[in-house]
Amino acid sequence: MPFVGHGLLLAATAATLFGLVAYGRAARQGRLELARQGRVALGLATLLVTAASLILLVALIQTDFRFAYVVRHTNRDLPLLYRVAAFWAGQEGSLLLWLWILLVEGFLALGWRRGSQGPEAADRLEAPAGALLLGIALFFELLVVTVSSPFGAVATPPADGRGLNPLLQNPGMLIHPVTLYLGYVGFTVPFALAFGALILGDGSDAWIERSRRWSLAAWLFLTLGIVYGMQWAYVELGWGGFWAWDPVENASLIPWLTATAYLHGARVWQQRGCFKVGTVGLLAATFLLTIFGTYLTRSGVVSSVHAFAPSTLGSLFLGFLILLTVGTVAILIWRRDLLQDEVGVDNPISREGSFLLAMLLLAAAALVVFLGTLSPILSGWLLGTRIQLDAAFYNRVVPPIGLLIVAVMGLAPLLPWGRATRRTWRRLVWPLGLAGAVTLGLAAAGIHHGLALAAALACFFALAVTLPELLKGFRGHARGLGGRLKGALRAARRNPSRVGGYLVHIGVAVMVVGMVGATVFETSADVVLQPGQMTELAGHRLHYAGLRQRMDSPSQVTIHAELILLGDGRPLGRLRPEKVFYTYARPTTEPAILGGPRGDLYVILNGWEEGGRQASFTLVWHPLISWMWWGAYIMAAGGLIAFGPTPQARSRGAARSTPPALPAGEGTGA
Amino acid sequence: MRKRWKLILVVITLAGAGALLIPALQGGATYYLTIGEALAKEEAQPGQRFRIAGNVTPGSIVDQPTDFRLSFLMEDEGGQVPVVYHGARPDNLQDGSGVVVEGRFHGETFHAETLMVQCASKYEAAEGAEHPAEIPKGRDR
Repeated sequence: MPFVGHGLLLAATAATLFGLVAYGRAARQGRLELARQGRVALGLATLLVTAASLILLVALIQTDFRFAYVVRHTNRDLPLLYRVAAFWAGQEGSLLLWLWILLVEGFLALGWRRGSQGPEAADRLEAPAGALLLGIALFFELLVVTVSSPFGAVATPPADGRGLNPLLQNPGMLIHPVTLYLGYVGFTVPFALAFGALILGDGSDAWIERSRRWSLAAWLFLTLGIVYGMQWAYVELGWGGFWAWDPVENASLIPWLTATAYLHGARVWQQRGCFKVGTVGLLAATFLLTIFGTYLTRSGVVSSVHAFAPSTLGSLFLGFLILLTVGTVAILIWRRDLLQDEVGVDNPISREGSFLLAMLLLAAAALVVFLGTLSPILSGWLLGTRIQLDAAFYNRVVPPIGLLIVAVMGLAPLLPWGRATRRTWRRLVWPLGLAGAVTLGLAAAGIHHGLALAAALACFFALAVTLPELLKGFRGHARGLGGRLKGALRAARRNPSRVGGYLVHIGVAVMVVGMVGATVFETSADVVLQPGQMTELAGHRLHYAGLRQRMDSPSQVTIHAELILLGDGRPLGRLRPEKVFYTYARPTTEPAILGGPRGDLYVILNGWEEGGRQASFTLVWHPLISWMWWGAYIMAAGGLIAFGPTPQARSRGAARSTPPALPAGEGTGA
Repeated sequence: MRKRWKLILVVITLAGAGALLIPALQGGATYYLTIGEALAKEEAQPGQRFRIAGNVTPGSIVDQPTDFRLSFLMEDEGGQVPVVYHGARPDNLQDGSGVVVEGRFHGETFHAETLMVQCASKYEAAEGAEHPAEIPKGRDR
């Protein structure tokens, strides 16, 4: 069976090559029938890769050990869900998943329902964008049919496979990698549309509207992927950190920062016809950074040194990355005349000024994290010694930039497009007063940490501006909750970008409150307790009752400690940190978390002496950490709302019934 | 005028980033070395902060959970170093694991402030798989 999968991938490569040529010629000659051929080839390649992926998936589910990949990543005891997750547990499978997502998204974005849609301008974008997309797909196809084939065959199938690392056997493994991949791959479609338009010589904003939902979806998945990774690290890896500034984590944060800046740039382009170079540049940077992130995780160039097996894939990705970067920069220089701004920014104290500042700050944050991640390599080149910038570096540089971003985010809705007036300053008074009062209150309550007070000022200012702005749109005709709710729905329908965007901003402010609380005010203690003893952390009294043992299955035993959180004379809750022992793998440590809006009490069972006379624990108090997760949910909700059609799209859709107006001068619309 | 304020904004942003970066660079930079390089550097100029990568020597892990003390030998082609770490033992620390430690030498022994363990290279591919389990010391975070 493996050879069938391999054959399908070979056929997909051929189809892609054909489509690439057809789309390329269609773009050059402007011939529609060639674009149709390209579309058929794109559909065919998508179908073939889908079939190949399904073959691998079925083989994993049935633990068909004729597949070398199945042998390496599953065994007969593995639960069904983790057999599915094994699809992306290995190098080859994860590349196939990347390719699969890329083609499906490309097909949906470019090839689907073109007949019924839109004016000729939109169709003209399809050919160059399709060619770019297929060119990128071709790289991944060449990888999976040559150096990184998921369809290697085993001559004599073994009785059982090698199994999946127990650390990966977590529900997080089902969601986190796929979400991140969807985010990473998703920026290919907007990139292809934007650069397709540039290659054609189309300087309008048509590509922004066409790729808006794809950009939003990619951003949403990337956000969720990162947050889900943080949550997984927090609850599972067992040491109470959600972010370690590890290169692999940074590789997902950097494109998130540039993507966020890009989304804001695209908005200004649509509204005012400016920031064109910045917008396209940030989109290109985002796309290139997703490839860079893959390079970083595949090559082992940063997180590990000589001792770990280096793979040839790293140099292939590096070559591809260099090719893409050179091509992108060349196109930008070649087409720089198309990207002239129609309107300049007259006054820095204006809505567009705040957008520009926010984009600069986001890009600066991305640059700092990028340089920090590459610090061992860069210093190796420049100074001859490898110097690693560690968490202390990031923790000094990133929070101030982040707080400035939050402050600008708060200020922006108050500023009018064009130029601020005296009325603008008056609108500042009361949000700033409110945030100042909260901050002073916190200072009076004994909080003297500079960063925390600055964060409180920035976050509450942003909330005090954004919440009323959001609610303003919610006023319905009827009073009471029902009327408000109806009003909210109507507002979200009428201007999804605005309502969704503000909701995302509120989510960010809430999340930052949680981050600052959980990192600045974290307290921890290592304690050794005998049954019956008490301990205290940050005002929480814990009583240790003893160790218990539980037989989960013939191959799994859990030992957990029984800890009781005491209030005034009565128990408030129970914590059960565990160590789980397997017959087939090393033990794993499961922390116990007792949480609420004020914070999480986090307990790790480190070990014990024979018979449980003494056990050692690490106790951590993470104040406000759940605000981070709530902020993330609010951000996700805002992102979802923003999916609705924009007023521009609706008016354009209406205009389409009449002969299509060419979008040349449309940049300044609405 | 229009161009000028944009320029000013960019300059201010750059200057601000520089003002943030330079002190942070002094506080947050650590030499990233192999064991041989670290030993040589320590001899020449003792007491510096290092980040060293290597593998755990099989059979050398001594875990005293109730004392919050973990010690092992770390090796690569360039030599071998005894490492002491105060804190919980990461689940994936085992004989032969690839580890990255940050800290300073106290005499012969390397006192690690952070200890990162690489997952076995067999599970190299997916994002989640590569996630090293970092054990922060709490205070500097």
